[in-house]
Formats: sequence, C-alpha cells, structure tokens
Amino acid sequence: MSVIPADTSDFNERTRMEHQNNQAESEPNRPGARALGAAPSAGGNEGPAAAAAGAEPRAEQREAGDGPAAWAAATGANAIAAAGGEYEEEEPRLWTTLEQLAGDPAVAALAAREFKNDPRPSTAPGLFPIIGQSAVPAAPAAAAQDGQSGVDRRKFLQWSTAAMALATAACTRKPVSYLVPYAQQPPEIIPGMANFYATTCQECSSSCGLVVKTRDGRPIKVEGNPEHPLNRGRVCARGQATFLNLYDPDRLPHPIRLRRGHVPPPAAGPRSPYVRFNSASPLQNYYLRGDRGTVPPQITPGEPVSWGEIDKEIAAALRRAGANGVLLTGTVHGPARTQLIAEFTQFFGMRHVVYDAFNPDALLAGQTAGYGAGVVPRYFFDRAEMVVTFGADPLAQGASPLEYMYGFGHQRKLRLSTGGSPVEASLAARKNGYKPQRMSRVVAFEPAMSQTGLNADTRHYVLPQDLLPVALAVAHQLVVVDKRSAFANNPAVTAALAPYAPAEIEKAAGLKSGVVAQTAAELWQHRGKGLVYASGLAAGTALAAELEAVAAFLNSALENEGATVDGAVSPSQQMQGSNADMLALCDDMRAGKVQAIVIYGTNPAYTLPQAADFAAALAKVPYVVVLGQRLDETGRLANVVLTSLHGQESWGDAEPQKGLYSLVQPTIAPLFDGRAFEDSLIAIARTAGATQFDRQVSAAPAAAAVAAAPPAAAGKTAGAKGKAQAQAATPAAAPAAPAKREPMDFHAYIQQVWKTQLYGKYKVAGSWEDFWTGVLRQGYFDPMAEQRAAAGQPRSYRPAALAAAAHAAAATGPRPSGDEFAFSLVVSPLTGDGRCGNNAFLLEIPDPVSKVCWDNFVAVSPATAKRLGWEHGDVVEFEANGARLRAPILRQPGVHPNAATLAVGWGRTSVGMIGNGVGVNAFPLAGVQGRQIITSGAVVRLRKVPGVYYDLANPQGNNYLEGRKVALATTLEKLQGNALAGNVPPQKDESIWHNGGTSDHTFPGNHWGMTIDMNACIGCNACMAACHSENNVPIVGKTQVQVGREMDWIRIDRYYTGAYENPDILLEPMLCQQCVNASCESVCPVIATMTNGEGINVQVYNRCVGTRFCGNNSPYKVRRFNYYAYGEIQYERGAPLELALNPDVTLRSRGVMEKCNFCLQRINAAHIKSQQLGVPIPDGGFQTACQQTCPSEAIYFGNMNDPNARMMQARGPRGFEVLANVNNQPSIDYQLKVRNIPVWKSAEDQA
Amino acid sequence: MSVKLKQHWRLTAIVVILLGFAGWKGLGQFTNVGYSPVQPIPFSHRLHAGINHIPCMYCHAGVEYSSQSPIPPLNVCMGCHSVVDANRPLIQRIAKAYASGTPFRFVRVYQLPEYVKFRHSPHIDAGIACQTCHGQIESMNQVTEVHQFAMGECINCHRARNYMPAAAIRKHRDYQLAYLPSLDRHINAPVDCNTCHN
Repeated sequence: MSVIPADTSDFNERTRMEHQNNQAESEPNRPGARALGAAPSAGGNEGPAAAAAGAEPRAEQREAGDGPAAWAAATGANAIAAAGGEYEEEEPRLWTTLEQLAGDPAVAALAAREFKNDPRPSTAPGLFPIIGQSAVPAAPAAAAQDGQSGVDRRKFLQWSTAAMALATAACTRKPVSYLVPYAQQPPEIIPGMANFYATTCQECSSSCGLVVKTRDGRPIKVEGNPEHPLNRGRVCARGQATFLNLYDPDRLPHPIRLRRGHVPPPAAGPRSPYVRFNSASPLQNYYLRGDRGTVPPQITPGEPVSWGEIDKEIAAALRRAGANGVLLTGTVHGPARTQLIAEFTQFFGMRHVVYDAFNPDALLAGQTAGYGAGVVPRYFFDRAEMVVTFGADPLAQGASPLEYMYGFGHQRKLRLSTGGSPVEASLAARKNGYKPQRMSRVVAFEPAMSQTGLNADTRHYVLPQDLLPVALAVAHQLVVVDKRSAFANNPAVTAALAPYAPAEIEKAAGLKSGVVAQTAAELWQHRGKGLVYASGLAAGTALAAELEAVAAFLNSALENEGATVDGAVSPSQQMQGSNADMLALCDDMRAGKVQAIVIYGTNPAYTLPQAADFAAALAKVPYVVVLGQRLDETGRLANVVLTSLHGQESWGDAEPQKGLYSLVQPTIAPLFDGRAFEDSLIAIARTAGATQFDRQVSAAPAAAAVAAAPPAAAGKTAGAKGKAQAQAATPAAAPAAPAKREPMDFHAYIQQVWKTQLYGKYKVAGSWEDFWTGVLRQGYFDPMAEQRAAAGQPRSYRPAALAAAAHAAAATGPRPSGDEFAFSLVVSPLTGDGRCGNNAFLLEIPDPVSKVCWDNFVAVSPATAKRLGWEHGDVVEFEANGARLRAPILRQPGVHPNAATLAVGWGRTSVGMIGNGVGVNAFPLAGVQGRQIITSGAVVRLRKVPGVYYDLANPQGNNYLEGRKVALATTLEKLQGNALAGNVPPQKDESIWHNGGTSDHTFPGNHWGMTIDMNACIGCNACMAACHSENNVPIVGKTQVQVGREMDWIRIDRYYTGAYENPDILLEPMLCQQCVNASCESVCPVIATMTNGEGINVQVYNRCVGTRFCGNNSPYKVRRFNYYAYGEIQYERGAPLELALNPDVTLRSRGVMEKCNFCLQRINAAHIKSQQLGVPIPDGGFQTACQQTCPSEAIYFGNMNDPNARMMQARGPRGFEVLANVNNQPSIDYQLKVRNIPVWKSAEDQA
Repeated sequence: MSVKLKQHWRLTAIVVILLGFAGWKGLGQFTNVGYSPVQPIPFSHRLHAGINHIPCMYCHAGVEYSSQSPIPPLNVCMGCHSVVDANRPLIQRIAKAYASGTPFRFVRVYQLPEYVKFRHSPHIDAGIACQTCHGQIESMNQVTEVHQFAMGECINCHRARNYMPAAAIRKHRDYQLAYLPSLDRHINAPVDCNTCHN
C-alpha cells in the first residue's frame, strides 16, 4: 500500500492516457493549479505530515491481516471472499468550493465552527469579501430577524408572562373543529384511504406515466407508473414538484380581458436592479421580515369576463380572420388532441404553428440531410455502452430526459460481461471480485460542465466553434485513418473528411494529442452499442445542423443506427416545435398578415430572442387570445386570457413516441374558474357554428357509452373530486331527453377518437368498455411493444450530407481570443424552459453542477476569472446578439477558459409571487440568423460592473470536511485487479456505547437499511423533490440558504477531485445514515432522538426542545433545524397551497430538529398491512420516496436482517460506510464510484 | 434572604407565574373528559347502536381499512330512513340535506394533536373494541368524551401487548409498567416513538 502525499498532482490526471502522454507538460500547462495547490492547505486537506501519521496505524492493521474481515464486518455484509482484495488507498483530495481548494482561512474557520449560521453573509469577513458596496440591502433585515431586533431576554420574559396571564384568563377548550361527511359518498372513496390513478405527466411534453396518490379527492404525491414503457416508474424533479404548480395560489383565477398596451407591469419592473439581481424575492421578504400579513396579494389586472361572452367574441374574431388566423401552441401530441386541433384549424381555415422554448430544428435538418426524412429519433440509452456527447446534455435537455436518465444510469452500473442485473454482478463480485465486469463509458466534448459532463468518465472542454471540427476529426480517424466502417471505401466520404486530420484539429481545439484517435477507437470497439449525441443548446451554433449531420454519420458508420438509434419504427414526437416556423410567423405578424392569434402552451414573449422582437410583432395583430394557467409574459400582451387547466385537472392524451399512447385523466376537479384548452377549442368552434363537436344523446347504446361523462358545466372538464375512474367505469344514467344535440366535452371526444383510431385500428380483443377501463387503469396503451423495442432497420446515410457538413465546417465563424468569450446558453434540468418558474421546490433545489440555487449566473473558468481579477460576488455586463444583460459570475470548474455559459429558464417577470425576478432571463441573448436561432458560439466581452457585489446561494459551501474521505472512487481497471481498490480501510474509533463498539440495540424483526450505488447517481436531484413532496419538507428562501439553514432531508453532495480547471466529480447522495450507534442520540438531553426497534434513528418532534446538540454531534450534517416556522410560512401563502401537504406527516413547527427517517409513514403503513394480512413485509413491499423516484435506481432499500433482500445483495465488495472510523455503524452502504477509464491502446494494438 | 427576594421579586414572580401556567397547561390539556358538544342533528348512538343493535361498522364503514373512522355520509342515513320513520321532522331534515347535497357539520369530539398519527385500522384488526377508547357509546344519546387521550393511556395498553426494546423501556421509565394478561394471539403493538409520531 502506498500513501500518496496530498499535494502530489498525480491525482489530477484526467485519464491514464493523458497522463502517459503529457506527464511532462501537465504542470507547466497549469500555472493556476500550481499556485492554488501550493497554498497552505488550511482548508482541512491533510498535508503530507498528516497523511504520513495516518499511514502508520493502517499499516499495522494490514499486517495483522484483519483488513478485509474488518471491512466485511463494517459493511454488515456476509463474509465476502473478495478474491485477493487488498486496500489500495488513493488520496482523494476532495474539495467542494474554490475557496476550499485555495485554502481560504475563512473556510478553515467555518469547518472548525461547523455551522454557518451567520445571519449576515454579505458582511462576513473573509469568506465573502465585499468589493465596493453591496447592491443587496438584505443584510439589515436578516440581522433584525436574528435576535438583534431590540428585544432582549428581559423584555421577552416580561411579555411572555403577560401573554400567559392573558391566555389563562381566556382559557377555553381546544379550538372547536368540525367533521363534515359527504352527502353522497363516492363508492371508491373511504375517508383517510388513498386512491391511486394512472395518468400522464403534463409538466413537459415528454409525457411520462404517473401514478397519482389522492387522499379524499386531492392529489398529494406523484410516483412513476412502473409499467409505463417511457419512464418505467421513475419521475424527475419537475414531475415530483408538480403539485406546487397545481395548488399555486398565483394561478389565474378566472378569464380576463386586458386593455392592450395598458397592462400594468408585475410588482417590480424588469429594469429595476433590485429585481434583476433578486436580492429577495417576495417569498424571501416574507421570510426575512416576518411580515406575513403584508404579503402583496396577487393582483390580477384586467376585468373578469364570462365564458359565454368571451367564446362569442373569439369565435367572431376567428371567423373574421379566416386564413389570417393562427393557432400557436407548444408541442401537442396524442391522437385526440392532434385530431381536435386539426378539426379546429380546418373549421376556421386557420394555420397551426408549433413552437417551444427548445426546438429540434438543427436535429431535423441534420437527419433530413443524412436520411432524407426529418424525425427526432428515439435514443436507446439503456443499450448504449459508450456515449459520446458533443456540446449536448441529454440528461437535462433531451427530448425524453427521464427515459434517457433511466437508460444512462442503468448502463453506468457494473454488470457481468455476460449480462444480467447489477445485483447479480454484486453477488458475483463477492465471490470472484470484479474481474469480468463492465460498465458504460461516457466521453463528453463540451464548452462548460453539463449534467451529462458531470457523469462523464472523460470530459474534454472545447469551444462551441470546435465541436463540429472535432466530430469531423473523429469521423476522419475512424474512416480515413483507421479505415473502418462501411464508409471506409467510399471516396465521397474520404474526400470530404480529408481536411480534418485529427492532429491539427486537436491542436486548434486545445485537446491533448491522441484524444480523437482514442475516442474513435473506443467507439469502434463499442460499435452497435454506442451512441453519439449532439443535440443541445450549447451545441446550437450556426452550424448545429451540420454537427447533427456528422453525429448521424457517426451513428450510421458505427452501426448504432437501428441498434441504439431508432428513426424508423417509433421515433420521438416529444419535440415538434420549430424555430423557423415561429420566426416566419413573426415576419407575417409584422407584415400585418395575421388578424387573430390563439396562443397556448408556449410563451414566446419570454423565450424568443430579443432579435425576433416578438412583442412588436404581436402588437400588429388586432386580436390576441392566450390560454394559460397563469398570466405569463405573453398573456400580458393579449386581448383576452383564458384560464386553462393543470394536467392534474384535465383529460387528455399523448403519443410521446410513435405507437405509444398515454392517457391523461384528472385527479381533482378544477380549482379555479378554468376550462381545459381542448374544451375551450370545442366551445369556441361550437359557438362559431361547428357541428362536429355535437353529440346525439341517447341515440344508440354505443353513443351512450361514449357519453359516460358526467353532466358538467358547459364544456368544463369532468372529474369532480378525483373520481374520474369510477365515472368512466360506471355508465351514466341515460338522460331522459330524446335525441337532443349537446356539446361534446373533451372527455367524450377522447373516447370517440380512441375508439375509432386505437380500439378499432389495433383490433383489440374484448369490448370497448373493457378496453377503455383497462387503459384508464394502466395509463397507457402500447400495442406495438415488440416492434418498438426492436428499433427497426437502420436507415441508410447519404454521404452527401457529410460532404456538405464538412464543407460548411471550413468556416466556423469568429473565435474568441484573449479576453473574449464564446457564449452559450445552457439548460438547468430543474428550471428547464422556465415554465415552472413559480415552483419554490425547483428554485431551491440546487443546480446539479454548480449547486447554486435561487439564481442563474454566468459560469466562467476559475483560471480566467483569476487572470481577470474576478472574485466571488462580481457582476458582469455583456452584450450578445444585440441584447444586454447583467448577471453575477460563478467560477465554475470545468469550463473552457474562453467559454461562458448562462442558464435559460430564469428571470421570469410574470409568473407569480415567488418566481418573478428570480435570476435573469437569458433567452433574449440568443441570436437570429435567417430562420435559425443561434444559442451558442457568440463572441462576447464580459465587463465587470464596478462596485456591485452579488452573493449567490450555494448550499454545497455551507459545510466543509476536515480532509475526511467521505466519497471514494476508483477506476474499473483497478477494481478488476483488486475488489477493494480505492476503498479506505476502516480504522474504527472506540464507541461510547456499550461493549466497546456495539450498543445494546437489537433488531429482532426488521432492520431497515439502504445501499446507494454512487456509480448510478447522475445528480438529477429528483430524490430531493420527491422527499420534499412526501415529507412536507419546507422551502426556506435564498437568504436562509446563504446562512446554511436549508431544510433538505436528502441532498446530493458534489465533490471535486483534482485540478480545478477540469476536475473529476463525485456525486454522493447524503441523508441520515440511521446509525446504530448514533452520536446524535447520546447528546440529546430530552431523548427526542433514539434508535427504534427497527434500526431507524427516529426524531420525536413533540419531544424536541431544540437544543441543536444532535445537529452539532452528527458527523453527516443531515439534521436540519427549523429556525422559523418554515413549513407553516410556506403554506400560509394562501389557498389552495396547503392541499399539497401529505396528511400522514407532521408539519414540523419552529424550533424543532428534523431529518430523514426512511419515510416512516410508509414503514408504518407497511406494518399495518402486514399485520392485517398476517404475513411479514416482503422485500420491496414498500419503497422510500427517494428510492421510488430515482431515475437510475441508485438507491436500494430493504431489510438488513434478510440476506436475500435485493438491497443486501447489491452490497458488493466495493461498499464503504461514510466516516466508518467514527464507528457510528450507519445503515447505509455506499458502493464507491467507478470510473471507466481504460488503458489506451494505439490503433495498432487494437487491430 | 428577604433582601435577595426583594431584589429578585420580578424573577420570583415570573417563576411563580411559569409554574402556574405549567399547572394550568397540564390540567387544560387533559380535561377534555366530559366534553359533549351539541350536534347539528341529535343523532342518538343509544337508539341506533344500543337499542337497535346496529353494528358500529355498519355506519362507520371503512374503519377497518382506514386511519380514520369515517363519519357516515348522508346516503348511509337515507339507506334506512327513506323508509324508516321517513315522516318524522328530524328525518325530513336529513332528507332535505341529502337532496340538496349539503351535509351537516358535526362538531368534533375526539381530537388528537397534529403530531399524533393515530390509526384506527390496526386497532380494529387487533380486536380492540370501540368501547375501549370511546366508552359505552351505545348508551349515549349525545357523544361524550370519557377518556383522557394522554400518551400514558396509549402506551400502557401497547406495552401490555408487546415486546419492548430495551431502549424504549428506558425512555418510558416514568410510566408504570403494567403487564396485562396476554391475548391469545400475538399482537405486535410497538412502543417505538415512531408508532404514533412521525
């Protein structure tokens, strides 16, 4: 065993290959690294002396030969005969922030103090140095709240006694409350029991299947539909946060008419620096000042209108407009919806334009050039063993992100080379080590670190301008140099690729020599099982279509087409928008060719570039109708805004991939005076005289079945009190009135379309009623499952497309030089395109890469920032494509020195009380070139704004490790030689509990535990959102996060290792470890926390007196103290927000410690069920919320007393306990991170 | 001494008031016994459950599955009373309420704090009679609370029927251990804090 001193830079190598090639030059290349690395490591990283001291006892232990045995005991696994396992300790120099890496004394001070808890971040010395004066007047407010409000102890006591006296005088019984039963109880409802409905998520157009838990007619939790082919039971963070959108008090309460041009701006104007730099959103004011009574009410401008009146007006306007009318929507798919829109537009003779914030124009152009037909292919990430991305982020911004996340994460898990499940691989590893195991390899070429890049084994930063040449160089290497693939002898291809010799491209792009050759060789090695992916905002240069054409070429050449890429059988329909159509529409509007426009499901006033000048174009349209759940930026420019419904309130259908049909059914009656978009279309068309939406009542039995919808108010979506399923299942009483024409609502319309198009077309056996009820229960209809899985015949690639791309690539446009930056827009997976902008969960859950919340920022390389003298808190001003913007900078490791990125989806101005003015809107910075929208590659100059300081909230910097190795990693190659590679031998302290190590806790029945596979964790934060939703975890606001008071029960820690330019990443989900010898328990003076009979460290809120000793003594920093009544405040915002609360979980009050408890309410429910059935709880009988939603199944949960539990079997020899030396005996076993960095062989060796 | 008291009279007063408040609070929390609010409709458990022997779960259907004991909806009342005594004025009030879909607002008698998550179904499953907690409800014309729902009552019953982890005994040492004769079937009534508090 060799202990490497901490300051050796060997650990900084990106790949072995790089190391071999560039050992000599690695240091001179990195002056910044040397300077930073040489700084005294006061931040807690062990210096050489400490490492040497630590080495001695470990060596002794090894001589005693009890290393592996001790390890086995430590993990609680069965004795594992890890073949020749030997601890080979690396020195993971973990760091989380640049301040820590640089050895900032403030970090050491914070680490020593453990908790931030400083109410004045802006004035704290050292850690957040102030440059100039603060633009943020938040500090005094914070100080006033935190015990410095002038109320001293004596006053407080005097007041409390007075209050007590008054309370005694006015004593009564507890407040009287009422029990109100149903008048007519629906048969499927038992008060207090949950019902579950299958539906389809409507938060984005990828349309994943959901199972919605409703209690007493209100949905409270979503989980993935485990049978749905798209998401297979998983839900992303946005899906989990859906109820904050549904129950949002800021939704538009009723339809309104506006005076165009006279709509008052939202509370604070976008020009105000106060809002632009979002020192405090209204929510934060709310928290900070405590002025709960003065929350500004949501002001709805305009005047309310009645539905009948407005339908007439719209119908008349659309009649008048005729062919000059336009229906502008976001992506809409699903047979009934598509047909309805077709019938509607046909009836009025109007045009339908589809536009979203992110559109596949470039992808379609590349596919059309390559294959003749433009489709968005379906990518099988679950079959890809090698993924190469070019400026793309499929995990954050794919057409079907959850499907990609599922596949990507599963392929990251170790498996036997012969196949099988990851659990089988773990079991095999216990016997034979990891010898024959494999995992996927991910290589990313990108300008700045994306979520996919975060998970890449090898990451290369290149400028957006260089993405296309590098892709062509890979093709050159593959076809011309290595003479591989079916195109090797194609003269057109070789001629086109001739100018892109890797050596020159690598030099120009700043890549290490040999990178291209290695990538090409590895891709060929994994041919038929690889994936080249190049769709994303950061790849959206003027040559994005050419890049897509080259990516398509690579996929074809590597035989991935038809294997991992399906463009023939079941392509994706999840992205149908078109930038070109939208820009053409803008031109038409400017030319006065549009007389009336109906806009739904898209927000062009917010998402279009400034150069498109949408507001001015729309002003030329005489009549504008916007349908939306809230009054958004586009709605403010309209004549009338109609209230539409949330996905949980409406009927609908979806066809996310060709041949996969998914159904949307309501789980709650509309909360506001709203009407579904589809029902509005029907009502408007009927008002204008359309007859195809009428139905004959009681004409034929078939029609009666179709008419099973309950009588609802004119056109209103049915489904009161979440009993949609029963209504559909039980035929309605036949109305008495004979043959009368009645409006058909969309519920009946869907049934009609599904009956004729699906039930009839696919010749389903059984009756229509059975089919419909079955689909309602299942949530989807997948008649072509086998064909869809087969991915179809490979399409043949036209070499001319490659030639055109290669020709176009010769002119890559301007490159940044010196202090210039190539600017790219990027997407955060949480905020997406900004449509969830008022969702507090998504604003507070940190960005996976930067870990910054409540803001977006310009990410620049730390080295460049250092050269330019930029510090934390600086604000830059810049101009891109004619739009000017100010935004704070973030020094983000892994960004190209000449690249800068800014996330879109922030800076909403009209979304609601929470989201207005949070962050800055980056969409206007995109460029318009012809009919193309350019999101990447603009050359900009960033100018620091003097005298402005802006503090970002970064929860990852709220705690620091004192050089402890909490997250471990190794490489696949090392692991295959040694099953214990990278693992740290446990040198356990003596426990203060009984018997010198084991307490007197015994767990005769169940002992709940968890296994977390760090390989599979992709950092998406879905677990955080699920935990928030399940456990009523409150949101605290930016200022509270800044002082370290975030309340997350689970978080994903992101650690960097290596040099700061392009570090390696370790993602580690961190939650309460449910220790057997819990150190938090032994310090609680009131025994409010204790290990229960099943090994869970329970927190008894009503017993807790808030000493915070436990939080202090817990080494994992997972206990959260409720400084204010965060939960109560959050839900005091107004009705109906409190309906989102889980009634099975106590809403914690102020002054109480809280933390993860493995979803105790679910454990209790499982116990009750097992007691009633008289059988023990089976393995997998219930799931924790985080485990249930994890898109990559990184979390296993089960009974540690059951060796056959899947969770126990997933514990392979690479498991470790976090801080095992503290001897807390945690119940969570982490499987250390394995990087797939193969030893590079040259082309000759491979052959 | 007196000087000191004089000096600290404010403190003394505060302590006295605090003690008084604690005493009042202690009393106030547990003196719900006898609470018997007047309900919007004078439903008599004595008549239905006592004299006519209608089983509890005929009306409180679902209590064996649910955490709550559901208050019967009006359609359950009307199941019988559309025929039985349909002409009496009180019944007609019910019929009217049912027809108009406006249920009665019953005053809640039994109420536990929000941090106590009591679940009916496991207790029904364990064979605990309704009367164990709700008193001789079949003899009440107007429902009256007869038990203090303090934690001691819960825990004593649970403790009598179960294993006890050593830790839990330590935590509850201030409660008298009272071993009742065990039931003929094993009932896993846990005394972990999280049984009721989560």
